[in-house]
Amino acid sequence: MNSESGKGLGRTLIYGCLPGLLLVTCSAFAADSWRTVANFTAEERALYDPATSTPRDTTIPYIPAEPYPFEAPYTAEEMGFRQAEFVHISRWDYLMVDAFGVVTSSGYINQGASVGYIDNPGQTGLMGYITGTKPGEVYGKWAMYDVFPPESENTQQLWFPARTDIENRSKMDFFVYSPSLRRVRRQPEPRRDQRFPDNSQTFDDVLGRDPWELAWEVIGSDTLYETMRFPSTRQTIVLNIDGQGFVEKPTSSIKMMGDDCPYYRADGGLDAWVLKATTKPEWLPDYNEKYYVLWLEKNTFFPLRIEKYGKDGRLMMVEERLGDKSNPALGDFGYASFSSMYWNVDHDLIGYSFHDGHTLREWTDEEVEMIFSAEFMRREWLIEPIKSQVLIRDPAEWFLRPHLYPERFPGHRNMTLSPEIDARYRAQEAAGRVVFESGGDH
Amino acid sequence: MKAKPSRPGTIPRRLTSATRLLTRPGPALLASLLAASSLANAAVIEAVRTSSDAQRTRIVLDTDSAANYAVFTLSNPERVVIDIDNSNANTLAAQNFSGGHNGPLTALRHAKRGAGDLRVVFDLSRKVTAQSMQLGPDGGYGNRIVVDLVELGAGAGAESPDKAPVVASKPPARPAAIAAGDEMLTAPTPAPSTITPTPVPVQQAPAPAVARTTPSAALPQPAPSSAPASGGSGIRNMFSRFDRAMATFDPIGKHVRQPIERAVPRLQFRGFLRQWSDVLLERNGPIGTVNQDFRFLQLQNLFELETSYHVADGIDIKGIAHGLYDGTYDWQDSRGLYADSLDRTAEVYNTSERVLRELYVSYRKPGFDLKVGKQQVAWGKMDGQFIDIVNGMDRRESVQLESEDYEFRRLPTWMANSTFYFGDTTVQTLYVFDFEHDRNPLPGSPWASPLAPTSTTNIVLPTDRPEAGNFSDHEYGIRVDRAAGALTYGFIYMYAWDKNPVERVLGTSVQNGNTVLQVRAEHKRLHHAGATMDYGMTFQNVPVVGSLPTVFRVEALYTNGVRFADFEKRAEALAGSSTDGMSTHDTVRAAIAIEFGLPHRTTLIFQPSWYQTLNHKEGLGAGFGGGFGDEWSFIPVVFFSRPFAFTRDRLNMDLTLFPLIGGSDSGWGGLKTKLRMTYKFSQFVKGHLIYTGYDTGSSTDLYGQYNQWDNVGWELSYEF
Repeated sequence: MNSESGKGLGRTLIYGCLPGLLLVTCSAFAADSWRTVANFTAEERALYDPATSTPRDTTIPYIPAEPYPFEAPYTAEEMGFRQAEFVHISRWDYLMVDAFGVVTSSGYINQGASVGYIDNPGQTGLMGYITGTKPGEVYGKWAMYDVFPPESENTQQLWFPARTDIENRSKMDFFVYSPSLRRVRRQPEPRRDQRFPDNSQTFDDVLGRDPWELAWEVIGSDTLYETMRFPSTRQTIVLNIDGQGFVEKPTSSIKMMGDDCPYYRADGGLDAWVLKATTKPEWLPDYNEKYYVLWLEKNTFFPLRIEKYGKDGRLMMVEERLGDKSNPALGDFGYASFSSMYWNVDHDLIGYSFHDGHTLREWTDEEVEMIFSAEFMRREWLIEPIKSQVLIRDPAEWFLRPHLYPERFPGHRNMTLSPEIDARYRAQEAAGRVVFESGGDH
Repeated sequence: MKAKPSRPGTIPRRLTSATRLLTRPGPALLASLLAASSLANAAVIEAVRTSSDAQRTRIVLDTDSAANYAVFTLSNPERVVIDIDNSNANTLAAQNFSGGHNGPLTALRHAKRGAGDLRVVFDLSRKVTAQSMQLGPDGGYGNRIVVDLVELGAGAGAESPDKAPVVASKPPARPAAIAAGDEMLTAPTPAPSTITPTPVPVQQAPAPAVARTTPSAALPQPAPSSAPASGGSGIRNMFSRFDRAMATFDPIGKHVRQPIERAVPRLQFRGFLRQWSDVLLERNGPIGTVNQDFRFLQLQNLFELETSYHVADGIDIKGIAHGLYDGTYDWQDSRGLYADSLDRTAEVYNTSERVLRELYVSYRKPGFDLKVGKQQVAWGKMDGQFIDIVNGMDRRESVQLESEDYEFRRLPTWMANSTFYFGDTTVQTLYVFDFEHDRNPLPGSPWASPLAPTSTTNIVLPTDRPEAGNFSDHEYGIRVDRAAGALTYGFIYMYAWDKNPVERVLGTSVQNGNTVLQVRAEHKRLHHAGATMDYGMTFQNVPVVGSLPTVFRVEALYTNGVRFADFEKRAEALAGSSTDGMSTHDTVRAAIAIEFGLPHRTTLIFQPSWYQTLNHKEGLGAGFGGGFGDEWSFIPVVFFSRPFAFTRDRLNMDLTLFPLIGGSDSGWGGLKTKLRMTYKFSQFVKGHLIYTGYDTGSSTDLYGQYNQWDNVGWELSYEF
């Protein structure tokens, strides 16, 4: 909603009726976890603006006129913009080690670990991306240094992601250093909707889709109690925590948005808006994905769960995230997706990406000049090694396939699985660990 | 899996040493307290729900807390029994089911067992198998015991939970002593311990944020499955077990690398084991000067160890050692293969020069690198060698030496290698004080050219090679690279030696009445100047593929002062003229590569490559950078690669075509075809299956001479 009168009404509803609404809300949630828009509570109605056409920014016509980060009540589009704050690679300067991998239904695992140096110069956050960079210009410099598996050690990638619009569609300039070739090569940018080889993540899963490339619709609300699930075979995990070093934590103690998030319900759940985002053909021609269903935490709009559907309406992928307030100075905008899992339903590939050892970092000019250049990769110089122990040793310890929630929002979601995958899913749910074609036993 | 807690109700039946303690008078009070505590947490059945489809019927018991329970089936009549410890069913009423969506269910009964346990019995109309699980609170549902009754013949998947023993309940073996009415509710006699089914452990208590289970399990699933969870196919099952075993197969990594790196934190240690084998499709006997009486072109086993020691900030020492053994000469009976007697390194690396492959000290500052020692330097960006001129090569595979082999076939040499970094510009300088010449296929080796003479009537003096101790023999190079947006480019210059010597005619002699040449092979100085460039862009709205990410690469090398053996001059020398038998020409070799990123992770590269001898004349032999036995040669290389999604991208196919056209005399020069399938067995183990064919062209062409060398190879590598 963008008119002042609309805002005023919204604020009146929120502040005037909040205590009563909370009671209603609590009782409503106790009864059921998900609601369609028609069944929204009064509080939800107060926070949600159903308008589908709002004034446009005068200089950038594809963004709302209302100043970011918007005020309640929020339109679906505004929620879509807010969630774009939380892309896979956070919109600030830091370093980390990205441990990632995939397991197939047979139990084959393919993992990697890359030390990542992230430089997002200029204004941090989504507005830094939208207004701080002109379309076609590079907005970040990301250097990735592979440290696992042995075959890939010292392989490096340098990503120069670019701000895009309908005229400037090239997402990235991309260099690879291969130690076996001892050469730095510019590579064609990955195709946006294509998963990486031997992986379940697509390029856009990493880079994020611009919110203006999608048509947004709120389809309801829900409460989630868990997202990325550890198996019963993995009781603890050793995390590399900035300032603490390696810390062994019970997997059961890891919360959906970290320990510092103030938005947990008393029963541990997180309330979420549920949105449907449909790709706009003029922005994403020939795109393989048709729409997404997203669960956005209600206060921060952090995406907890994203389902991806194909042109034929089939479920393609489910992404679930564990968030963490990695940049406290940014408040609700400082959450990072410190761990994500990607279940490619077509091939029953269960992928994950764990951003371990996240450390905020202000790069000096000298460092930027040195590290974020293609020729630097030839030096095979891991200037700041970060270690991680989150790689998975055994397929039996893999993350579980995510929940299906088939009963929720049936008009928008198609949870049909192939019989084989369905059987493995059921067996997994019974076993508490991933079940493969040869079963789940050790 | 948490240990199942002891429950007072089970003590009389399970007289374990631990529980016996609780039965003694002393601990009786404790036992009763425990019992009271447990009873306070009795799992109350709040509701029973059922649903059914063609293959299974689901029973859901909603409970107010997690429960210890057991599920088993009984026959004559058919029943499924759910025993719940320390429970009651105040809200549960007996009921009859009649048709509809109740599957085999006909009736529900229940009764108390013992002090506080509950038995729930479902009467069935037919025999089924039962699977069970317990779910924690989720999505508006509370704790649930879920029992699936699977119709017999509904597929092996029905049996799958036995692969998941954490919560699945299997009916116990039923001794013959069990009467048909053991669970008769009218007489709730405690069951004898011998027939007590193994209780299903309580699933790990779900923490708020994890380990919750989906309520969807309590609902009819959208796609009722008849497929097995475990694949159903014996072959798939076997492959799956293999994959899972291979996933953790890293013996050297686990037992050597990791302990060493833990013990010496500054040391990095890695390596690989690789086995290559190529076998000829046919054994063709004598071909030109070669006796092809062998099948295996190579049976090579290469072991690499790489260590790097971090001495201090910015100072590191790196060493790479190789051990190679090629069984080609030992493992087959051949008279045509005898190169190992000419040079033992053809079979095994037995010299320190070959074993100690690289060893250098590096010193790094942000704007400066210095590496001093034995090393290899690869210049350029292209596949193939255009400005990659610094090191000599072991070309034992001749035309089958591929770009991916360069790393192991370059001959590292002693040099000082410094690089200066100025923002987007880098300047590298090389001072090479040792010299390594190319090693070409020896006579009597599998890839010896059938065109190469194995003997000569000339008097051949020892080859004159540059010497490390002679300052004037040292080599120098410089490389400048610059990045400017989507364009990167660079230039190189090197004052180097030709890696291959050319025979210089020193004079003539008369032997046995014949005039012969007296020759000495010599390396000659060359001036190399080259350029490299790449540019990236994405074409939009391309028919069929939509967007088309593309990279252009260009590389060129101009070489001044290349000596060629000149057979006209050598004839003149034999006739008495004063000539060294050589001609000097400049050469140019260049390539343009266009790489496309196609859908389905498919890569297509088109790389036309050109080799030109300037001021060419007839009668020239081979020379660096020029046309292959002709004025010019043109190889428009096509490379296509894609993974197969049905193998989850583990299987990748790539096809490379190397058509050769020469001019101005030779024309079509043959086609080399390479088809390679790569399969990833695990993160550490990879295999290749390769077909390489040489077709058409005349027997004097580069590829045509190897027309009868079509071969199939396999490679297996383990990296740790």
